[in-house]
Amino acid sequence: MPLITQVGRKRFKVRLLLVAIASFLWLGVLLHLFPVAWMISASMKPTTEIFNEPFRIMPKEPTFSSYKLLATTINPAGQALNVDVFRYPLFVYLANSLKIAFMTVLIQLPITAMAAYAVSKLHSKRTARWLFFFFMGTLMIPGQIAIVPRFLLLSHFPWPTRHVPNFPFTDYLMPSFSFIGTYWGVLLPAAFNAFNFLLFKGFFDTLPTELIEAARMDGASELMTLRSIMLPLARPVVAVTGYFTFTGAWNDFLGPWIILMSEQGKWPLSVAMYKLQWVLTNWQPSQGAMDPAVQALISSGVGYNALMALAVVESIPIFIAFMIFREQLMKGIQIAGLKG
Amino acid sequence: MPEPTPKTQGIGYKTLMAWLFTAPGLIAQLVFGWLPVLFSFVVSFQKYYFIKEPEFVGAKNFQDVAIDPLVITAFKNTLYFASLSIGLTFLLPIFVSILLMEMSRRTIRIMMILWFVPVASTAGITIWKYMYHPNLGLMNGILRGLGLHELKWLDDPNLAMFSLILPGIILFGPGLIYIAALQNVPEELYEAAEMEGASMLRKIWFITLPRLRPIIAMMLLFSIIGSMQVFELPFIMTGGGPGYATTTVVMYIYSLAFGGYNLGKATALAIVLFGVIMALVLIQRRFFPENIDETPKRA
Repeated sequence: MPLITQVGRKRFKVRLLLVAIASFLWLGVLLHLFPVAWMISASMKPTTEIFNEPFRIMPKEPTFSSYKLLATTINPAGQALNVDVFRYPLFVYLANSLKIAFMTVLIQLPITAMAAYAVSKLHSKRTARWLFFFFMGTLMIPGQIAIVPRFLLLSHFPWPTRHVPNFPFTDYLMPSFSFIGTYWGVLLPAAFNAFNFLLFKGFFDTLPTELIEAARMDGASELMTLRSIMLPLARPVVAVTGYFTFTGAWNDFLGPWIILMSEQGKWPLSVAMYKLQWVLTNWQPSQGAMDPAVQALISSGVGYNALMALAVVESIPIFIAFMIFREQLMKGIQIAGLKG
Repeated sequence: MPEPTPKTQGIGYKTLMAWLFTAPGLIAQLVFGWLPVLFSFVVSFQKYYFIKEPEFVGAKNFQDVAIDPLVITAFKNTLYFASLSIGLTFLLPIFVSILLMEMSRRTIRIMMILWFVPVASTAGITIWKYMYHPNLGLMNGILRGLGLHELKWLDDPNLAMFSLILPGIILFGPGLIYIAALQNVPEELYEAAEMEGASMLRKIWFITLPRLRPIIAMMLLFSIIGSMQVFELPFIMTGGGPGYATTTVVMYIYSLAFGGYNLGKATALAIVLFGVIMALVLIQRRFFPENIDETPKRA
């Protein structure tokens, strides 16, 4: 309420202004929710309705057949759906996405929080300053720049070169692993996150050093101090970083796409989504002859309704995460605001 | 280093623990943060295909990049996307956040919760691709309903890039970080301005915006870096088409590397992009410093 003071709020002109602002904001909320509603509604339309009455807001005959189709690998006539997305049922992609998102949180948050704690409270001032630049420097370097070297690094880890070196003076190759086509190829590059490091460090900086000193006096180890004193205090920060890390990993497309491209059984939903929309939208009526596989798909009831059903399934878990962390997120904002 | 020694344990123990805590992050950042960046300089000077032996070719890849007409197209597209995106959508969340603060606490809460209802990112992009469908999409449905003539959206080379930005304008909303910062502005400032009889616009201009300045500068920086690297949105929405109308630099890097298997040229292009982004960042910091007091002095 900073711009319009409480006192003047009864005047007609001021009230009119407030109503105008409120309607503008509610319009924004509605415009934001509309595509979500449209997605849900379209996912429950039968295929004929998608084509014949594309602009009906509510489905005339709501059906879950699109969801059922996604959950199987065959069409209602009992034939295999001849498009790669349907080689696995929906649950496989859902489970893969959950695996990737949860593992990213479990690996990244402890590593990042521990590093931030050490830099904020344990290292000498000079070391801390160097480490801070070391950890934050990559934030200024655009991430996409290193797609190719990162791919090469992951294909014969830990050697970025094409050739794995020999042990000196012998013919034996040094050990190397290919992470291409494995979950580790997606998880390891996300093991540390500079942005979360900044949030954690910013928070640990606000905690008084006496707190740690007191714990040390009582004989607590550093790990115990971090776990039982620092982290409970940092709960809002953990909630905010945890939520954003989870949704970030869930939404990530380019990483899994490059690393897991050949391993269809390991695709997350984001990749399955891309593939399904690619199949459906690369054909347009104006282009004439339709790919027979796509034709078969559409006659099996796979259309934009199935695409939207997949979009709903992809969005539900992060919606649940949002509802769980809602309160903590709102609190987290206020805390971020307080320390400014 | 004259360090105050902890009372109960030796300094060695504390240092050891500090490094133990730092080690996993340090290794991860070294291997996956810095090593690929440094290695990209090596790759960029090599003729590097997946199947053949890499060999050192000097600046050959950079020459290839310089004479490739598609590189020019990709840079034009990317700069066009970045300026459209920043020009049309950067100020919206600031404006909406400022207005949102006028509502009661309860309304702010409800609106924020509804506003931040999440949709998965590839799902969101696909929804809009459906919206833009020439026959089945809602956008043309609305135009038809209003009696206007229909547009080809993503299929129209002149409209495709704008169509990528449009959802960001229609789905306007506040920014979390601006709301956090706005809660920080002391209310007395506004009260003082009120006494002086300042109008609403003057209050925004002279109190709110200067207070938000460091955050706006930071967000502008991230917007520049982010929009110059846009990949997913055009990759899924248009695949770079029609023709090359929406092929961005990162998409071209991707297709050079994973479509054409020319890793050396792809990496050289990535380094050129890095240089361009850094130049833009320097320009931004020169003309929009975080701190007002550091505004460039006129000679």
